[in-house]
This record gives sequence, structure tokens and C-alpha cells, in this order.
Amino acid sequence: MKRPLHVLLLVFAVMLPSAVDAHHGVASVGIAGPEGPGAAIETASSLTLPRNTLFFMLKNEHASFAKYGFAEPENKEYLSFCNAAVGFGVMPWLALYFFQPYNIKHQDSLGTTSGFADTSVMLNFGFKYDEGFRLNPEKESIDELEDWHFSAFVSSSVPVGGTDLVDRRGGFWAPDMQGGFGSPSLGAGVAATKVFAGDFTYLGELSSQYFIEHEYSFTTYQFGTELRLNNALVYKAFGKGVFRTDVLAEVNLLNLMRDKEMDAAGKMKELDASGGLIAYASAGVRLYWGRVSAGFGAKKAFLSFLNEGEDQQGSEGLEDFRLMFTLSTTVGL
Amino acid sequence: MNHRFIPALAAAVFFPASAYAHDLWIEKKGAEYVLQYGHRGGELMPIEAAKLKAVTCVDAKGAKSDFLPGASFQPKAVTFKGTCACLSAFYHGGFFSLTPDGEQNLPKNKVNDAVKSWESREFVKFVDAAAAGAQKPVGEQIEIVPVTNLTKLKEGDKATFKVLVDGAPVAGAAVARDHNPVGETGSAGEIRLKVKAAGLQVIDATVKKRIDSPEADNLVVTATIVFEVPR
Repeated sequence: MKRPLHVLLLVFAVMLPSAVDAHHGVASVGIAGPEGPGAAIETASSLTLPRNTLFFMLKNEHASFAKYGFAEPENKEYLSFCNAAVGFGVMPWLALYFFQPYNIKHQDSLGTTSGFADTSVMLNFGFKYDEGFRLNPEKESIDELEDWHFSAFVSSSVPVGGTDLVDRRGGFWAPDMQGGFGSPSLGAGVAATKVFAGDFTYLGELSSQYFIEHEYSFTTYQFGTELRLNNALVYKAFGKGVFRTDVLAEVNLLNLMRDKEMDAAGKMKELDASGGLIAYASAGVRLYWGRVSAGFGAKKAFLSFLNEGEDQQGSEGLEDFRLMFTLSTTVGL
Repeated sequence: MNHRFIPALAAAVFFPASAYAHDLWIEKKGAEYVLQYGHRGGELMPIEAAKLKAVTCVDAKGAKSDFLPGASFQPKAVTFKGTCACLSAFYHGGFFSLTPDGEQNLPKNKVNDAVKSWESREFVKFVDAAAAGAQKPVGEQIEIVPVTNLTKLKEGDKATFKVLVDGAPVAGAAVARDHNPVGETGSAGEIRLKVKAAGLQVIDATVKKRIDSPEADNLVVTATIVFEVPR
């Protein structure tokens, strides 16, 4: 199994389920409670942060994997991705984010590896359609928050996570079980958000993550490029004062290219037992209390076309389930 | 600690800005303009004649005339006869104080244990969107001025409004439509709103300013603009 599940973390970072900040419109906080577009758990919101606003987020995703006889005694049992994010609204249409993941991964008989993964930095550029395309304005009324909002984002990781971690037996963990990628990974994407019929919000996102090859002390490896197409539908089930409850459903498509590893001849070769196409469905709830938002969700693959699925234990698409939790808030400066 | 302060303190903390005032609006009914106070479509409040300080009619050429002398006061409405491109009224609610015994229409130096106090000034204008010059500022202490031409506005369209205080755009004014908060003005004093339904549009903007006078802690000025969008 060569699929680096922890690369998801960076993509989640890019996706920035910015919860509270789907409600950055001034009308939303301090005047009328959390109004405006809803936010999903995984699919990005295209809304940017208000200028001079700080954003804080903690997120955890726990993936538990189905075990197979062929993978004994080294079945991957679970991966837990924790992520802390800080964002800042540089302009109403430009936000800067920093992400610091901390991952815990367990593989039967080999033990548990944990530690900080690669830091990543993201720039999010926001614009909208209101009688023509325009940059996100300084402030938006509740009516304006119902417009189509778009964003384009780019990101890069800074390889600070460990790349020479060893397992219980003293051998190096495989690249996908290491803390970091060793080399920067580059991300880019676009997102769209639209409120319709008053209480519904559609969110869509297309993003990609490219991994630069890295020379580990034990191999040279390049993770396959990822392409994601996320769609979410959020329904405002309750809203009164500073309280709001949303329920949401998402469909997340993930296409993974094959990983590559340097062969004995010094050439990068595509690996078997990596890559594929997976479709996830997820459901969740998001609670708001003024500027604070907490989201809970569960996710499961309902379709998977893995290249060599029978050999890809621990890969995306072969989870028993994924559980997600996120907590976020904003502070105006 | 004085236990009467506890509910008063709670009231002070949770007292929403919108509670500072009821809506004040003008409708055109036939050949008359009707000024009313309270909640549109709900309970109406009496209008005190002494608090209605000014009523100004601006005609299509921009000429102003005083309509207050011709006002007809009824228990919960004031009517005016005439034709205006814009009819503006100033209602001075006076001083209010929040005390452990509730809200009183008195300055804080005339009550005991005031935990919050304010002076309320409300300005309302009815704009005949079709009339020339109707969308120009009247020159009130606070007013909402349409930036978008209201003439061709229809249901579903968006319009931009500017909030002026003493003639200058003001940022951070709390804006409401039919008493429901919809946003704040930006640094240019502007906000953009959608016409949710044709008919009478009532939009108000409130600005609170600390004054710390013997009578009140704050001055709360509210502007309301009223206009029709054809059905």
C-alpha cells in the first residue's frame, strides 16, 4: 500500500471548511446572529475572511480501516489527522492561512507513529457575481451573501515533518506513514458557494494537489497527484439569535494518480497498489454560537475503483468509516 | 450588591440595538401621507405631537415647505395632505433610561439606578421614486440616500443605499429591513440590498454615538427610507 493517506490533511487544509467564516458578513455576527451561507465540513467555502479578521480552527479526522488477511500482520488500523489553522483577512478578497497538522497513525505489529506534519500556507482569493464579476466587497449585507461567491486558492507546504521515522522493529516507516513529505506539495483549486431557497446553500469545489518527489534516506518517492471534486448541500435547520444549526450532506470525489518510486536503475517508476478513484458520501451537522462553530460528520466511500484494490489495504476507499470534527472561530482586530 | 441591579444588568447586556426604537414610517394613501409608529403590520404606537419636531416636503424642483402646521393628528397616525417628491419627518423620542424597574422615557438624571440611557432621534422620509430629485439628500442629521436609481427597480433587483450623518457617509451603521437586521454599512457608508418583494420598502439605519451627557450615555439616531416598488 503506497497511498499516502495523510496527504489528505493538506487537502483538507486547502479545502478549509471555514464554518464561521461562511458567515463573515457583518450582518451575521453581532447584529443578527449567524446568518448567510452555510458551510460544509469538507467542501470548501468560497467566502473569504473580512479584512483584519483572525480565524482559528481545530480539526480532527479519524479514519478506521478494514483489515484483510493478505495484509497481516501489518494492516493499517487507523489514522488520526489533527490540524490547527490560523487565517487572516488581508483584504476583503484575500485571505492568508497557515496550517499545522499533527498526525497519529497506527499499523498492526509496526506500532504507532505520531508527530507534527508539514506546515502549509495558503492564499485564498475571493470574488463574486453581482451584476457582473467583482472582488468581494468590504462588507456584505445578508442579501449579498446570497450571491454566487467564488474563490481561487493556491497553497504550498513547508516540509518540516519527520521523514526518517522508524517503526517498532527499527525499520523506516513507509513514506505514507512518515510525518512529512520531505518536499513541498503544491495545491490549487477553485470553489463556489450559492444560497438558494432561503435556507439552502450549495458549495462546490475543484482542487488538485501535486507532490514533488523526495529523496528519503531509504528511497526516493513521489506521491501521486490528487484531484478532488467536492459538492455539498447545507440546510439551515434552526436559527435564532446567536444560535444556528445546519445539517449537511456531501459527495466527495477523489482521483489519485499512482505513486512513483525510484527503481534500481535510478528511474522513477509508477507503483502498483496505489491510485484510483473513490466517491465518498458524508453527512454532518454544524452548530453555531455567535462567532464559534463546531461541526461533526461521518464519511464513507460508496464507490471505489482502486487500481489494485485487493492490495491496497489502508488506502482511501477502504476505510470502515471516517469521523470528522471541527471547531472554529473568528476574532476581528 | 443591590439585587435590583441584577435584572437591570442582564437587560443592559442583552438589550439589542434594535430595541432602541420602534419603526417610524410614512405611507402614501391616496392624496395623503400617513406617518405611523410601532411595528408595521403589527401593533401601532401613539405618536406624541410634541415629539414631532419637523415635517418637510421637497417638491420635484427641490423646493422645501413645512408640512407640520397642516398635520392632522390621530391617536396612532399623523396625516399630511399634498404632493411631494420626498416627505421627511423628524421625531424626537427624547431621553430613555433603562432601570431595574424597566425602560423609562426620562433622562438618566431624572431616574434612579439607570444602567443604560440614550437620546433617540428618528428621521423618516418617503421617497416618490418616479419624481425628479426625490433621491437627493434632504439634509437631515441622518438619512438614507439611494445610490441606485429606484425608478426601474423591481422585485429581485438589488439597490445600493448610502447612509449619511451630517451629510457625510458613515461606516458601521446598523441597517434593517422591516425591522430585521440585514447588515452594516462599509467605509463608503453604503449597503446593497435586494428587493425581496414588490410593494412598500422600509429600510432603516441606526447609528449610536457615545455622548456622556447628564441626560444620556448615548445618542441613537435612526434614519428610515420608505419607497414603493411596483407590483
